[in-house]
Order: sequence, then C-alpha cells, then structure tokens
Amino acid sequence: MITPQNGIVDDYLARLEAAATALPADRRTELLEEIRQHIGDALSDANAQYESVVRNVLEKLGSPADIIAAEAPLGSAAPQPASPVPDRPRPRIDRWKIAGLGLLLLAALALLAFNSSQGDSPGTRPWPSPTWSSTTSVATPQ
Amino acid sequence: MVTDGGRSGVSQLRRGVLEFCVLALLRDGERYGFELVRDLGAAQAMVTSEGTIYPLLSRLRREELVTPSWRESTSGPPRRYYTLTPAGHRALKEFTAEWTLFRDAVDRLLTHEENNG
Repeated sequence: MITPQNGIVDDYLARLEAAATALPADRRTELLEEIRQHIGDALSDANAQYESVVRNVLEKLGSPADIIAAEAPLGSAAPQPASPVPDRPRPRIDRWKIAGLGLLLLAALALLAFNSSQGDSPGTRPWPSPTWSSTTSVATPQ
Repeated sequence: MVTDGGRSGVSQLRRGVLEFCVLALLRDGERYGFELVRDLGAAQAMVTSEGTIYPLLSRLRREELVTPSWRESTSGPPRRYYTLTPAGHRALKEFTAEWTLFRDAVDRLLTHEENNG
C-alpha cells in the first residue's frame, strides 16, 4: 500500500514508463507492475512515514534507465534501450589509435561525400552509430 | 589499466555472477522478487540497483531456468513466486564447479602477487 508521498512514487513510475517505451507492450506492463509491487513491499517493510524513507527506497531501486538497460541481455541487440547504455565496456584504445581512427573517420567522411556526389545511392550505406568498431568498417577499402 | 581500485572490474564480475546467486537462493525454496532482493542485499554489495533484478528474473523465466507461480499474499495483490527448474538446477551445478576453479585460480594469483610484491 503506497499512501504517503504518492507524488514521488508516481513520478518515479512515470519516468520508468517513459524509459520503457522500447520494450514489448506486455513486458512493459509486467515490469511496471513488478516495480510497483516492489515499492509497496519496501515501503510497508520500512513503515513509510517520511519522504526520506520513500526516497531511499527509490534510490535503492536504481534509476529507470538502469532498470531498462538491464532488460537488454548482455551480448544481445534487442530490445534496444531508448538511450545509449553508459557503462557498456568499450575496447581499450590508446591515444594514438584514437588519433589514427579520427583521421580514418575524416577520410571515410570525405570518401562518402565524394561517392554520394558521384551519384552513388546514399541509401545503400546507412550512416552507422559513431562507435569505433563501425568506423573501422567504414574505412575499409571500397 | 586499473584506475578505480578495481571497482569496475568487480561490478562487471557482479553482473555476470548475480544470476547464479539468484539461482542459488532459489535452490533452498521458492521466493518472490522482493524477498530475493532483500536476501541479495544482505550479502554485501551484491546488487547496486535493486530494480534490475526484475529484468534478470524475466530473462531467467525466458531461459526456463526458473518457473513462476502466482500465490495469494496476506497483504496486497498476489505474488509471483519463483522456483528452480531442472535446467536451473543443472546450470547452478555447472556454474558452481566452474566458479570454484576460477575463484581458486584468482586467489592463488592474487596471493602470489601479494607475497612477491
């Protein structure tokens, strides 16, 4: 039962719902219900009299973005979270490699601009997200 | 390159191990989501964002390592209790064997480094 401080809880659930738009509808409903029930359990456990208690429960739950990011299993592409996952491990690249890849990226951009000005259909190579692995694939000889 | 005292390494490790800790808790009997979170929280720093347990449980359901069943509760709406499936028991057993070897190997290396450093 969530009676006191409904505003904070409602706000949290609304943010979670907004973050969950990428999930399939049935899973979204289910997750929201699970989190709602969790909050209810945690609050009845903690005897929620004070706003600070409610805030603490929500803080321990984690940010809506973290929860939705966890819906995407490691090593799988779907479902994509609405925002990029901040703590995804990235390949280790030293400074010189970054500089080199930067130059390659510029070269690839120039090549792409040149190709499209030559009438190459731009639809055949959709512009990839700016991760290092895809920049290297763009930079392979045409 | 370790600049944060190994915290990010430990957090990645925790993410990989968490599902087996959930399976281990369910080995001793059925539990519902909030109970799992509470029990995992009692083990120090096992879960950083408690809400991520629900996506994890959803995946374990899809992989048929756990099976849910609805139970009436004395307070509030019915609860979804989880039990281990035979595949869940197998996965836990395999992980336990692997983990023991892994843990011992890491311990040996860390202790060796300590003794020589």
